[in-house]
Amino acid sequence: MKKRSIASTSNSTTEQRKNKKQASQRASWEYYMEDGKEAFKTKDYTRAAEYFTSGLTLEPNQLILLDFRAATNEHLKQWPAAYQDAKTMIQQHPTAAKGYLRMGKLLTDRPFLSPSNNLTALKVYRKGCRLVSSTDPLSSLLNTLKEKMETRAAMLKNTRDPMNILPYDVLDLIFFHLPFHRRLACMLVSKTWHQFCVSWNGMWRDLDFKTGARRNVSRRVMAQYFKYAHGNHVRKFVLEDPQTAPHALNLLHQYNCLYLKHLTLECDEIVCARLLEVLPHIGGHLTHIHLDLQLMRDDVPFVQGLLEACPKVTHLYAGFAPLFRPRLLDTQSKGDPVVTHPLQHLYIYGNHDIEWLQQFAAICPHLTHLITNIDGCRPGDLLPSFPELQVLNLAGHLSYARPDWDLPSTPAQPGLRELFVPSTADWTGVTEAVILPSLPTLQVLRLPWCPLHDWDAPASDLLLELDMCHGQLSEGELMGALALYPNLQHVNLAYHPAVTDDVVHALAKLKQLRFLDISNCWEVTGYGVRALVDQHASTLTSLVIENCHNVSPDAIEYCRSLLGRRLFCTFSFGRR
Amino acid sequence: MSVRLLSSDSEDFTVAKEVAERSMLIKNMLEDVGDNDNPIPLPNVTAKILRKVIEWCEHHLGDPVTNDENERRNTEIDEWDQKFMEVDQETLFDIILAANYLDIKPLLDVGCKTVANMIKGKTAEEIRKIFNIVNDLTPEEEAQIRKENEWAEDR
Repeated sequence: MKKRSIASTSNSTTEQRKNKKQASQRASWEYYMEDGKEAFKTKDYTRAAEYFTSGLTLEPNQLILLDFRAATNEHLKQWPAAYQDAKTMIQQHPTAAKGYLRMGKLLTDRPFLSPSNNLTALKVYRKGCRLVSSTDPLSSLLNTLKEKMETRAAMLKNTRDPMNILPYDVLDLIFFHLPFHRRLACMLVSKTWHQFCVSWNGMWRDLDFKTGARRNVSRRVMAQYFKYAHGNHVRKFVLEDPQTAPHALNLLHQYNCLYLKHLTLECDEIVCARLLEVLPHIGGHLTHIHLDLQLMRDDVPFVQGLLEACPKVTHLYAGFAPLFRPRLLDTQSKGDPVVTHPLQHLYIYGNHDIEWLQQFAAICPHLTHLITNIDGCRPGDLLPSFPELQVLNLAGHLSYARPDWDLPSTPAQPGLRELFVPSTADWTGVTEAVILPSLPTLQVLRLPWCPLHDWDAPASDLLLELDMCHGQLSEGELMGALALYPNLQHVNLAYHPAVTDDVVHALAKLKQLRFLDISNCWEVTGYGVRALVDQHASTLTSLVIENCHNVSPDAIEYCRSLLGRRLFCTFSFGRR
Repeated sequence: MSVRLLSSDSEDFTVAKEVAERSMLIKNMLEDVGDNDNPIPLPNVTAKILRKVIEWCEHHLGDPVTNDENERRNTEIDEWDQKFMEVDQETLFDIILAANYLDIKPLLDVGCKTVANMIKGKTAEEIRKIFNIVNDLTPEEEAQIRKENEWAEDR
């Protein structure tokens, strides 16, 4: 009774209950149980265990007390004691479900349990189901758990460690599909997995410190990886931290990463200078260079140096600070024969001009993708310099220029496929010099803020995407233009003042229409939109009608009932 | 033209020649032996797995054969293949092993991508659970690896 007295000082209700005891004729162990339950509820497990133990000295083998003590010991992580109680429950009360349930729970709940525990638990449940009568209120729960465990055990029986059964070259194929940070996570699985990762020569092939990074990698860890790696095996290096980039370049040089193919770096001036020193040694096989450049002095012939050091580079992405104007051809004297370079993709953002690009074309005549920003540029002057061009984007918008380098490249079709002329370009003669000649091959035509009033271009079955937001064509011209391109899938006419119900009807005639944006077109009414939705409800992926104030609420309701989340419609200025 | 294949458990399969020739191993064998009515023994493949493999080859009969390794590796698993690969782990690994042995590269790729997808987005602990692996790294080893890779997400 010693423990009891400790408890009564801390629990004022105990004495009162003790007095009630005589009246209700309850067994004294029940009071211990009540107190234990109270303590359990307040998560004071040590005290709860003491109460239950006291109770059990009065009434050994009492089922509920044993059950509670086992649960308490589980919380206290006293596994052997908990098991012992569950075992006693089963031995002393073989027909009660509680013992089997407790034992099963103990076996399956423990973190980091060994897999064989599941099978033991299954045996416990099976025995329980055999001995417990169906009148026990918990017998159905026992049955459900047994069935669950049966399926789980069947599943486990068929699971195998791939490291043990798949040959090395198949594992190589599997790990090929994992990004670098996932490969690292696999090192933690087991000794065999760790051994495979460290010895597999693809492990350090793609040192990508950007994908799946929680924070910048430290110099120490980077150096450690290079120690594991063979310089010869490194193919890709991605780092977006100018602080550690010079250190990384040193490592690439020091470990002779001669077969590097893909390099992505965020650069400041120091990194750029270091890059020009290191690339002549390791740039021989580089095909993809992606540099996020910050401020640069404009007296360094940077692009020139880059191309000279990397004769195989086909994709160059160089976001320049606006003040930088690379003096590309300074070192090339007039008499020298022009050495051409195989560059295909160029993304360049900066303060350069059209002469610079024309000079550039002399060195890189094979350019297929040009994404750049040149204010006041006449696209017609640029096209003849790059005969193999497929994509010309003069807006230099990042959102339109995401390099899709990792995608499989489609076989090259001659002729311009994508054209993006922004409002900042010089539009004189654009129709005749650019749009007319390239329309037979064009698939994507983006002309936002296009100042044209007439549409003189010919018809085409190939055009899939047309962007004329903020345009100035008249209603008749616009309808005429839409009729010329029957296979359009993606049309943006936001803020186009000439978009009326009749234009929407013309749009409804486009059989392939998937995406349509007519936001802020105030002439459009519910009549036009309903007709369009009736025609295309099953195929539209997006219909954007933000701020179309003359579309009535019931028309919007109707569209929403057919399109659901594919309808985008809000009113930022309130309804008129 | 049809070809007879004999599984390791002696079940006889008769399939169209074009279907069987999706397997480079069988294709080369046929070229070596010429026209011959004897069944080709495949001692590493059971009837259960061979049936699955033939089902796959028949469905993909019209697929263009691409030798561009990058293109083949980078394409996503299509819906039919995803359904096809919804099997228990034992069968999945057996299909992979069969594709490897029979030299059917596109099927091997689908299998490997399926396993890679099982690993993606999971912590080491979750990977252990999936494949029923016991962690036998010592706490010191584990701490060391964790410390090195701490900059990266663990899932």
